[in-house]
Amino acid sequence: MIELDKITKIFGINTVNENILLSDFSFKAEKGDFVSIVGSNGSGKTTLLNLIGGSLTPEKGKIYLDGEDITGKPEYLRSRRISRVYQNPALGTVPDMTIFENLMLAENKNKPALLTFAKDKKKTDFYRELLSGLGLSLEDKLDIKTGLLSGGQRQALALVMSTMTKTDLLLLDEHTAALDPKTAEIIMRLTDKVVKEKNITVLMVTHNLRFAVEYGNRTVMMHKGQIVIDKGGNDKENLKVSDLLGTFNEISVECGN
Amino acid sequence: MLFLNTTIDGLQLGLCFAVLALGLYISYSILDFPDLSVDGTFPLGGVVCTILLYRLGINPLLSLPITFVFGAAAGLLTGILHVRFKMSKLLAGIIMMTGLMSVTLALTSLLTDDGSPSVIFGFIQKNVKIPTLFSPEKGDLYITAVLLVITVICKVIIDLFFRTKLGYMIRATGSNETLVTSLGKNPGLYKIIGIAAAGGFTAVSGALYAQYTLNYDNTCGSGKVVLALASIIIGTAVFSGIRFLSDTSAVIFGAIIYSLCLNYIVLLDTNGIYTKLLNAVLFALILIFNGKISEFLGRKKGLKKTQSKQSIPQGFGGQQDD
Repeated sequence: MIELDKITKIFGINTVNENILLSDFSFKAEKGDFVSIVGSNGSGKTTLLNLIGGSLTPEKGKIYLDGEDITGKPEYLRSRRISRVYQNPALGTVPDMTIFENLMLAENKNKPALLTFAKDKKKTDFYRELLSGLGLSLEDKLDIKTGLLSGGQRQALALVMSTMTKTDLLLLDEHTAALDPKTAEIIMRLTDKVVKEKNITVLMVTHNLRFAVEYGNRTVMMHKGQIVIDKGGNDKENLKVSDLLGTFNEISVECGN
Repeated sequence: MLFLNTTIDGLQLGLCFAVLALGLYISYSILDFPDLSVDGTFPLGGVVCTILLYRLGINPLLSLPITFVFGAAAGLLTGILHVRFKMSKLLAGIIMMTGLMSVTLALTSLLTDDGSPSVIFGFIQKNVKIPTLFSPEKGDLYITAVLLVITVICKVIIDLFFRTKLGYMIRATGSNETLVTSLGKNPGLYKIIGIAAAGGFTAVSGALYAQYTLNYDNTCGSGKVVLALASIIIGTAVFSGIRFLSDTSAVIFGAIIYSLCLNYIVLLDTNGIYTKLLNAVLFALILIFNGKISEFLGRKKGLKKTQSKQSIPQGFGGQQDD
């Protein structure tokens, strides 16, 4: 369960460009929820994820993960319970290391990294099996550096790596945005599969309204730091892309876009 | 005969500097941290080693791990300046380098009888020679062998280190800090460890250099960053494409080649006026032809990369179509 309590986030504080993005913003997602967040640029979606992930700290308010106050915790400590997949496929893997080495790193998450040898050949079969589930024939490329993989392959690997160890919350930051439509579709299906298998709480920011409607059990639309649509349960089942698009258009007219 | 001597000299110096290049390989190539403090850490290693040998009578071989600790401490400080106090990579190095120049000079006062600092300190004092790893009377073959063994030991230590979990984290930090953070680890910590290790090897190189030249010179640090950088670039450009040759071995060969070139320049420029200019021209040429050398040899990593890239089926979009 993730909860944001009366969060205020201001950019460029005490300057002429001061921008109050979130003001007394509260949000809550239950354990096992898969929340899709949509909204125009500058609506505060990514800021929301950054606040939860820890790369930004709020000016006011508290953030709770399963009841624990994590507001002041550094990003790397939060990462022990929160995983994240970024929009940029290059950020989810180490390009200079092979798939095998990347998986070893991911598997060693939350364990000490000391002077014991990292490579364990016995893991090969386990990794092959893990990757063959993706259907991307990555299992035959264990010794290839991830920098040589395509964006989609890297993103799939990043997804696998981020969910390899137990994680309480998965943040997906427009993780299909840099991919072609077909690959995006594959990664999205893969995401859904992994999330269902492992029963993880997910917050997914996306610009793809169809993904927001089709996947997950709750859809949220944000605008200017406010939640304008929040549909869960049956309402979400009946939600259509056209509904979202309608609200989107209204908002855009308001903004003069 | 002069040519042969120059070659042997160059080879031996190259092996001394190979340890330095291996150190910078950790900070520059792996962590992407062009550590300018090398110019200060190198003489620090030299002066610490000289004090250990002359004042404390420590075994020349044992003096190397001790100098490593001193160099690592200097590296630790550079790392902390960069990570904790958020100084830029270059500035953190420059500050350490500048400070260390005084530290090393102050330390030389421990060597002189009247306690005054001295820029140059010879290893023959009052007709007594300070024992070193390389006694010239044992001949060039012996000296070269000892240098080779020490360099290879350093290389093996580094190779093994980067196969440990800690080594993996340092490699990952240099390549993608965001991911290290995602793994619940503090990338700053790994940067500091890596830079400290680099400082350690730099100091060992300085110690070897002092023992080899039988002389501690407080200005011996100048230009060492460039030398190490050139070694790494030559090494990786020329040798990295060879499959069975590790990057660390390539760096060692790079150091030897560069050092040989420098020695031949001295041979060409007998009155020594244009030595530095020729050094600069050589370094510039290396940078200009960096990619071309390997292209010419037809086995560059980049070339291999593009070839292997083509052998990978295009994304999974392509495979889905099948």
